Amino acid sequence: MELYFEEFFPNLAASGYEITSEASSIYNCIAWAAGDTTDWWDLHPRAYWPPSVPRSWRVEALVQVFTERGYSICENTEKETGYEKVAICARNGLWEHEARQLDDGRWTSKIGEFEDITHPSPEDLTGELYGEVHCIIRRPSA
Amino acid sequence: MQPKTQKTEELEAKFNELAEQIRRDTGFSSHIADRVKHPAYQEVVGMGEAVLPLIFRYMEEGKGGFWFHALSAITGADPTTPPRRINEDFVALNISEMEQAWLIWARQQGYRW
Repeated sequence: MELYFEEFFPNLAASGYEITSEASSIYNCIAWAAGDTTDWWDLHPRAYWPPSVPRSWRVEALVQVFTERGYSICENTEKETGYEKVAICARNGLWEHEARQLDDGRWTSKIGEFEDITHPSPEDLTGELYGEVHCIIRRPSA
Repeated sequence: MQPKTQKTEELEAKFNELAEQIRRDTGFSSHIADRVKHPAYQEVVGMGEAVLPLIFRYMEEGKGGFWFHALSAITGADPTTPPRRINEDFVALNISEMEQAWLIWARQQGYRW
């Protein structure tokens, strides 16, 4: 899928990235950010969505999914010792994508039903498909 | 596997073309609804029962495709029940479990692919 990725994410082509898994339609980027590779987190009636959170496309609903998992809004994408961070991308106020920071400061993203990738910055995936980085959230590392 | 006729080869080529179109246009999305709403997905549904073995093979090969809507629309069946209950209002199987349920159902119904 590398040609697809570079075609649809011009920033990614410039920054460089590494494919780190096989393609899978079992889980999506939201599940991957939450550390779950067994479910597709989505509002679709047959997908998984945390029952305590309103079923909404609004980005605030996705922020709530993660605040209920111990995250809070933070200032930047820099690696901070003792914290794990997630970037939430939204387009027109609606959530589209999440990336999770790795221990080395790079980021990991599950791209739709395609592969997981490692990339330098959440900004690598911004653009027409995933919109802009809406916020960065963090929680103390386990 | 039965010998392919020209008609089945055409059907297979059409299905593969539509499946690739759906994957290319919606594969990046985290939203299942983007796939189900896609005109090519609806065209697959419109191909009717003849397309079922092609969908089952596609699923068995691990290509995904989120075909459970199409399968229910074409067959009127839903072998993915009883689902896993999350709370009073919400039930779910994961994607892999739904695909396996459909493949078991298909074999029980006598489909071959």
